[in-house]
Amino acid sequence: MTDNYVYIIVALLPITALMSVLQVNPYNALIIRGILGAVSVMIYAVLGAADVALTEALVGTMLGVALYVIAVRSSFVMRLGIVEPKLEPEPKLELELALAIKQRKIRESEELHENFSFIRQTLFRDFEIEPKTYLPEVIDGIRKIVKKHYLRLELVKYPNSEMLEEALACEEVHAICTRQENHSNGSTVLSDRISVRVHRLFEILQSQLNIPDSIIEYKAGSNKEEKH
Amino acid sequence: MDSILIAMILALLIPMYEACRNNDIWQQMLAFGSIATKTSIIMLFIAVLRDDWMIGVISVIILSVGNAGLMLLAHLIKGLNET
Repeated sequence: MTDNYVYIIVALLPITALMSVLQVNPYNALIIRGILGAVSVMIYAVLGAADVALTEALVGTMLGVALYVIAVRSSFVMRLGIVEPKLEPEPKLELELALAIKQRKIRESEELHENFSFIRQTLFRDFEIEPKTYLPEVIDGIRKIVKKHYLRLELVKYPNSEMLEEALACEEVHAICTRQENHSNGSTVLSDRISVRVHRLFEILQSQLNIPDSIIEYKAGSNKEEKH
Repeated sequence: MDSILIAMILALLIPMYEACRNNDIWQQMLAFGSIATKTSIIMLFIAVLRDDWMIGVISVIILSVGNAGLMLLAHLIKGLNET
């Protein structure tokens, strides 16, 4: 048991442990944790503890790392609420109406055209068509910034802005992105407004997001404790 | 025989350095696979050297199971990069 190579093998363990500690990216650190597991399995086996080695290999290296990857994946996420642009009225219906007009061969009848627009209005009155309420550049900018901090950006879509505000208040999302019109000097300027609930995310976005015509504001949640 | 074993341990340091230096996650997975196989082979060598079949059986089990764990981990990380 006092072979010289045992000392060299045991010396590998602090090296891998140091590598694991020095890693910044959580996923890379988990892979180094797997390497640490492999090295410790070798040490346990060389020192004669075969049962401990088997347990470390099965639980520590395989199951533990896999579960940690799933946990990190589901928790390192920033949920951004946006208003989903409204669906256009179904083109199929419009086509059918146009075909009906054609088949009747009353092309010059203005009356029917008026009827057509009236039918459209009554059919799709509930679907008020809103302008596109977010800019892809803003989303991409936020995604790039949070990726630097090893976060994923998850878009949560809401049908209207009231539900979006409610989702932020209920802490369903971490931030919301809305577009609003500013009337200044007689001209209308569209600006994107990003409301962040988590203070650390607000700090990160405020310091790094530099997209013109975008406002970043911090909205404290109902309870002061920050949830990530 | 000890010199062969020390050479094997030195060979184990190569993928370790690679895993430490390289920040690409797939390069690190490759290094992990390399280290997992190398440690199992070293264990098997020591088992034969000591004529201890208990360690030998364990090393064979770890050699097969370690690859299964590596595939599971690779699948999870692949799914992560897609979303």
